[in-house]
Amino acid sequence: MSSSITLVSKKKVYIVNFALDYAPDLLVSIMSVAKPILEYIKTIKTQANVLRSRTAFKRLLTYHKRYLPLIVFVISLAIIGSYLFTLEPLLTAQIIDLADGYLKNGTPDLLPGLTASIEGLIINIVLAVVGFGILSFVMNNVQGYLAQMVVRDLRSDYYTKLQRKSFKFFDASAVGDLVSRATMDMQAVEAFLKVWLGTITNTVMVLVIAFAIMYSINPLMSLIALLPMPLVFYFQAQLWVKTMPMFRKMMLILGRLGAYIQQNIIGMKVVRIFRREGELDQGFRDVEQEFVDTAIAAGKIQSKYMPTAAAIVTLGIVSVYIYGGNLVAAPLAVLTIGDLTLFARYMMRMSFPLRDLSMLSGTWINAAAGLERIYQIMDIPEDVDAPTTNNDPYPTADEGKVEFRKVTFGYAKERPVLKDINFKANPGEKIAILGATGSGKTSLVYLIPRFYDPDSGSILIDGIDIKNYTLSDLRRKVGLVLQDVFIFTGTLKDNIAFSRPDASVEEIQAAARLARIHDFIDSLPEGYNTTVGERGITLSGGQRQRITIARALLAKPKILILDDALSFVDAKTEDEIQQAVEEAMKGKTSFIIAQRLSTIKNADKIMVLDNGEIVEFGTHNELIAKDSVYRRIYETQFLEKTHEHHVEAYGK
Amino acid sequence: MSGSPSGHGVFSTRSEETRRRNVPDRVLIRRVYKYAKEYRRNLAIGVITILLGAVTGLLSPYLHKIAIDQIILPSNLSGFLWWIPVFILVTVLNYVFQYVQTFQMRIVGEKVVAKMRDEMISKLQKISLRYFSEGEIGRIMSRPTTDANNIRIFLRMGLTSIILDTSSILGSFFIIFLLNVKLALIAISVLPLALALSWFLGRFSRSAYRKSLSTLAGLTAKMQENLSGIKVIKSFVHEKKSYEEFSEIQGKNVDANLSAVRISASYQPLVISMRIIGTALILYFGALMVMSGEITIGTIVAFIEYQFQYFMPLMDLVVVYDQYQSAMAATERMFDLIDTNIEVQDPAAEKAREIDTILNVSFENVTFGYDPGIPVVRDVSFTLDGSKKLAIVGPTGAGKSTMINLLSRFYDPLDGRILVNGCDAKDIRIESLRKHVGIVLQDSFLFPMSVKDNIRFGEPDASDREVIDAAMAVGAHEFIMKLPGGYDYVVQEGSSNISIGQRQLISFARTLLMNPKLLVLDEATSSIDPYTELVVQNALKRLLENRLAIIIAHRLSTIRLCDEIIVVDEGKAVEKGTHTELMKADGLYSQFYRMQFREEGLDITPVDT
Repeated sequence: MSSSITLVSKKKVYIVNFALDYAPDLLVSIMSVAKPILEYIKTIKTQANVLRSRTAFKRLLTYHKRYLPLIVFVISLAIIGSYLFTLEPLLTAQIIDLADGYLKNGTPDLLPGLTASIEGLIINIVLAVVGFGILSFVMNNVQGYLAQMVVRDLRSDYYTKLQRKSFKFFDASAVGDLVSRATMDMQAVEAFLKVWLGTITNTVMVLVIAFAIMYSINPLMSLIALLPMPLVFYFQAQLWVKTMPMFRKMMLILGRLGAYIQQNIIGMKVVRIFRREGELDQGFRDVEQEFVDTAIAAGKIQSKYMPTAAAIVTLGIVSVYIYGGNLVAAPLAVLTIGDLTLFARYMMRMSFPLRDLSMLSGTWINAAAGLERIYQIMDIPEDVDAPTTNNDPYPTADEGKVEFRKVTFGYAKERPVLKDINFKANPGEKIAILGATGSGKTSLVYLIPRFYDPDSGSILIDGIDIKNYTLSDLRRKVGLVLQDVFIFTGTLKDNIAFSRPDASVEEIQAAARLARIHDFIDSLPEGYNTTVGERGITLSGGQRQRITIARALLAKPKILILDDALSFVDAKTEDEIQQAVEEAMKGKTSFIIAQRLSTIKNADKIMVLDNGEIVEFGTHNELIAKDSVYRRIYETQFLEKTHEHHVEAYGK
Repeated sequence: MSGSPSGHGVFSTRSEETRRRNVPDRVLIRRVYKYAKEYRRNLAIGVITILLGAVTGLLSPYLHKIAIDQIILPSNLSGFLWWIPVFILVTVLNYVFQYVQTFQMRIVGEKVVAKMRDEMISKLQKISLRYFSEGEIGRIMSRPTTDANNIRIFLRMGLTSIILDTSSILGSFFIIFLLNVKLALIAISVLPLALALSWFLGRFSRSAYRKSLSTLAGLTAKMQENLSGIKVIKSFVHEKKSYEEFSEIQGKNVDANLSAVRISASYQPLVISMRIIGTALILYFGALMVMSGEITIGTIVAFIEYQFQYFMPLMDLVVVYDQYQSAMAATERMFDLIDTNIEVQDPAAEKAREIDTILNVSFENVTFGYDPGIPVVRDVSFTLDGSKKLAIVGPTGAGKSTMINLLSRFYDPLDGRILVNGCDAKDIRIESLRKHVGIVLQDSFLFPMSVKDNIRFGEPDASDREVIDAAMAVGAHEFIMKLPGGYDYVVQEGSSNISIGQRQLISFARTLLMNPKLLVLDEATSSIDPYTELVVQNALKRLLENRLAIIIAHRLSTIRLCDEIIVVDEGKAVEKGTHTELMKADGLYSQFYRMQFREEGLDITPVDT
């Protein structure tokens, strides 16, 4: 049973069909692949308040503190430059008056003198403008330099603080978003910084000087001339204040649209497998419609406000002409024609900086929005609280004894991933950890280098609570070889020496040998200086694994955390990796998240985790003897394979 | 040799930006106009009001001249009686024209580009997958995004500027020459120099700007990399060095920016200075001419004001010319995409068949290669019916994945044919065919949507209950419930909350929900922990129930689930048969089997022997 409603709005007719018996599922069928983007777009604010972001501005000023001399320099240059620039109409007026005066009561013999005076005035104009040009050039340079320095300082601060954040923070963040704050949002700030000092100074100076000159000629008329200016500023400011947030919204939409397109291009095969091309198309158009609507709305505002300033100024000049014209035409010539043109010129001259200033308010709105986003990240509390120097009792032993006491932990407090974990690992012991995904294996080992802190309980290394170590000392003690192998853009040498950038070549080669990767590196034309990563060579899975192992070995940690998972490689490489892993574990207390039978069998102790608790902990023989979970896994997973298939393959 | 598709000629050009353009401008413009046809009324209004606006703009200085020469100086103040209304009228008209013009041109600009973008995106859904290979993606991506934006900005501002500026310049030239030829010539004498300087500055500025952009891209990439690997950085206490590297790259960006600053710092002072020198020339000669009676004072004032109307627009045109060039280049690239041929098409409506289910599938002497000269699949034949499961094994690059691409008509065979339910796959409507073929790829690609929506991807109308059932059937339900938000958890790139094995399970659930009759599986090679491994194996068994299946298998346990095995080497099917038959034959298959056996760590003496 279905019925439909027809909704008619001004431009479109919407027809909504709904089936009464499964209305909740209706929402499902209008699910668009672009839904997340559309929801995001709703959150973009386009109402702006220039004054609301006072604190953002004050904070920005603190970054200017160290450049105070430069700021003073810029302002002085701007003042002098504005002055020179504002002279021209005055000089022009004088020339016009000279010509006019000659016309009215001049005689030919006065010509040479007049011409000389005019020439003098012209030279003054040229000098003034050249002076202005040079000063302006220097000022722009210094202002630009200043802007770059502040942006650099701000970005460096942002990055430094970012690096110090906790693992929990990074789990919840999207890298792309963090980076865009340092780039796209920063660009908005840069746009503001590049012009703000000069614009403000220039506007003030021009207004003051022009007004002063006009006032000295005719106070009343100067007031008439000044009258339109606040209106000009107001309407222009309205323009920018209203449209800048919209432009920003458009940019953000474009950004998301780009990411959306990218995602779907990369996943185009999947899209076609599941026949979602139509939805994709529709989703795209929905987002695009938002964009176009915003653009046109901004266009409406622009068309209304943009020509307003010019119209107001023009009408203002008309009033000046009328009033001034009367004065000039009056029998007593209170005003000269030159003065009249001067007023008109100055009115034009005043309107331009005012327009710049109003545009600045718009630029500031976007910059403030960007700053808020940047500060927001910076202000998030940092990594786990750690002392800056080791606390008493100072750790003296360095053996790698690990102890967990009543440790409970969860990424969200209500959902503990580890419950009441207690165990001791003796120095040099190899402990294999088994458990289903979500059983807590990874979380357990991540607690050791304090990537996260337990909600309760404590972890001790060599008898000292890990909270008493400095983070760098602690993390240097723990080496990680994980499934997620991260190779950075750089040389192989840099990648291996990751933990100790100042390691010697011999040390690096030694670590590479132990990791069974040295021969491969040696075989490359550039050896250890070969670039890997984006523009370098691509390493195979097995090679990356061994680089990671070399990395860990170089650090010479006392405790090693190892994820056993490897992509299927050929038997020879697999052997080499196995040897490298064995090598890596020598003399270290090792925690291995086990995948393969061989690893487990070689372990000293086996820990089985189920649902966050240690259910079994002992040697292979101990556990096999009992009717344990371990035994069941062993028998089903490994034993069956080995026995039956072994017979099949080898006939025995 | 792996079957890497060679890109379409135009798309694979590396230096696209600097490539010389082949298509003449007028052809491109004509094509763009086709998109604007729908809005030609807006366009016409826009252009007309631009021109009218230029006219009213040009009137203003002339009115000033009249005010000075005919009203003020001769003390003919009653002249204001007609002058004021006229002036106000002109101003108001000017405002109205500008208002209309801005709005109309904005509409045209945005909508035309939107249409072009739509067409590009639609094309993207249909063109051959060969264009989506890794090296090409960046290029395809830029066309509906950066390129379209380029054109958009040009249509919004550049186009208006061209019309307005040109009319302004021509109009003011006309008027000043009308007023006084000699002074006009003097007035414009400063222009060539100003233009030349502006042009040169433009060149430097562009290359400085490009350097700025590329160093910024480098900085972005570095930050991206560091933050993606932040856990490794933190665990190896590498923060200081990372910061130093970041700082160094940032320094390069700062330097590039400072170079750009130096150039742009000179632009405005230079232009303004040139303009005022022009004013000075006008004043000097103008004053002399006033005194000699050749011209009036009002004329000088008019000249000074008209200077604004040609000088600034002329400088502006230099900038706009650049915008125009890059917009044309972008347009050409866009049409390149729009003109791309669709290789795999639906059959003609009369011939098109629909299928309700898949009963059998066969390859008949199928040959195919992404590059027609280099076949990747050679003369392969096999048949699937009932609920047979076929395993395909063979060395890497042998053409196995390519065969999968052919099954769902992502590509068509060059020779031979593929039959579904006895008729040629080419005669079946693509949507109908794909509805019944469920393909699970090696990497379980998930979209940045909720888990729920991801599982629903093939059946958007499925209810929540059905989603959960599918998840339960593959054993994914438990871990999904443990995720923050459960089924509503939004999958993110590089999310550490979902392991590779779990992604596999979600992608299995996705396919299961679609309930295809033919399952095609390109087995993932990366290993997962034994627990999840078991779950995945069970899920696979469940997926295979009552279905036809073709599996590119790597794991022995998977092969054991299949009825027949084909061994593919260098594109040819070299062995075919059941597991027992092939082991007896002691050929390629048995070699492979033994090797795999060792690899999976199964080559160990059991404890109790």
